[in-house]
Amino acid sequence: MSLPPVNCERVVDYITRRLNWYILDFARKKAGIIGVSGGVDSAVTAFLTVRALGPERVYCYILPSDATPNEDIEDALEVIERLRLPKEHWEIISIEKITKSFEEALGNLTKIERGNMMARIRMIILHQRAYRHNGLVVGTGDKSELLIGYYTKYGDGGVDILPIGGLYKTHVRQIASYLGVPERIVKKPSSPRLWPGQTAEGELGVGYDIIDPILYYRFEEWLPEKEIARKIGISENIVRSILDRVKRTQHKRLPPEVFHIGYRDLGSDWRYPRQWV
Amino acid sequence: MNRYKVGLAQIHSLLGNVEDNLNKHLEYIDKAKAHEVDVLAFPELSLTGYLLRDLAYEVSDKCLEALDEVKKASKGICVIVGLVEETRLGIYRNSLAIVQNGALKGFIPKVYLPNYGLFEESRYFTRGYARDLKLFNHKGLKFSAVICEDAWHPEPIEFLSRIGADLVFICSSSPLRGLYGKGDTFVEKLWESMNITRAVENTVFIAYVNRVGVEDEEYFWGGSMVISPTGEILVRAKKMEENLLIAEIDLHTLRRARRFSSFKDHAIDLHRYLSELP
Repeated sequence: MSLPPVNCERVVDYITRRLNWYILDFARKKAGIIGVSGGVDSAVTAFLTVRALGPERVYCYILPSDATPNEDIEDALEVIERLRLPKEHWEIISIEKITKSFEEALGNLTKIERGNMMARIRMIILHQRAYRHNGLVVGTGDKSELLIGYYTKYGDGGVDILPIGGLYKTHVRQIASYLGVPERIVKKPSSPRLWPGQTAEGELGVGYDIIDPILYYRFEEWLPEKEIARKIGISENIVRSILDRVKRTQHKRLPPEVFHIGYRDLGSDWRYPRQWV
Repeated sequence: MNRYKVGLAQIHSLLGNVEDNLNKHLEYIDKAKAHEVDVLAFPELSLTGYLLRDLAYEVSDKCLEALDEVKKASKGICVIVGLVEETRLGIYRNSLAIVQNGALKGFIPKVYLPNYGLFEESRYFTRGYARDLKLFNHKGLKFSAVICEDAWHPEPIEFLSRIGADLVFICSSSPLRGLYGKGDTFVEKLWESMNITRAVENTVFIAYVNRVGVEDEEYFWGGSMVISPTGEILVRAKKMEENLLIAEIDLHTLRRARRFSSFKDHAIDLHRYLSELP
């Protein structure tokens, strides 16, 4: 048993409407800013944002480091070519020099410290460009990554909206095929590419073909761990290890905690809608 | 007179923005009048938007001001609008106001306040009671209305049908969920079946009006429809977009349908036992 497919036509129509409304009407901004990596999430996000706003309101940035394989840069370029962006609407900006100068100032960094820093450098660049073009940073995180906390807090997590945050990785691939994203990108194994040879499956222990149904059965169908393991045909330990990740990373998904002092503080007292006129 | 024109204003209300929402209401009332609509219904909380959360405490005065403007615009037409009603100081209901020919005829509050999933209505609102469900009459058409969740239980519409309604409006703010599989989502399928069931089990016309557009995380899908007492979908609005939906209903259809239904039978003993169950 695996998770049910999404209704591609409805999902694309729905996300497109919401992106258009959120960026132009609600936030009253002029553009969507996207970091394009050559992976499937950013490809789908870029395709959807162009559908929502038109290519003249989208800016894409390829932000490679020495850990970025050439193949990713080629794939990112192919995505940008298909989007038909005006030529001043995309750039390749290497983050290698910036990363190195941080490392010179801070001393040697571990692999993970440096990886997180790279994700945050990309975030800084995207927000700078967003300010320049009066746009919002359109995040590329999907539901699988958001739920297991497989992203850098204030790095790739530091965005204004997450239009594909309701789609599991499996669904993102399904939507990618529907949108005509190049096959090579759809089939490529997922990786944050923060160091050479890094893959999601290598770090997480299992692939999204296993992670996605675990998350779906636990949080959408409310099944107990034992039943999930039985349904997918895996051990309960795997189910538990993935669900532990969800719990451990809860802090990444919530705004920082405020200690209550007054009659009404930010947090549980503060139940105003996001849309507040 | 046996034929009436029913209008459903499938609008995108802006959260907390009563002024802009009022303008949208006046625009749709004008359009409906141009089409000679007899009764025009707006969705649940149409003047205020649905997901008000703490704004629920701060919009009721503006709603009353807006209602005055709706009254002025209602010459020759009957209009049902959704709003936050302050019934006592600091106590609020999720209500419908029935405005007819320049006068406010009354309020219908929501009886079942949903508190599951994304819904947290009883945090903000107090519930309505059977005594608050009333019948209205416009040019001989006997009608009433319920709000969203009240259609997910059989009694409110049954009650209104038994006190004489020939047409019941369901004013709703139903958000989209579960874009899985093919065709309609499960929420859309459920609403369609429910509307047909309520129409057939009570042999009444059902006019379902749902909102469209975005509010915080939610997106309302529209899909307003009018159902005949035999369960036929007479008209259906577009999904995801604003729409003024108009249907002509013929009371002869109702008379005919009741001759082939058991609506006249009412097993009161069953209801007596039901009332004793938790």
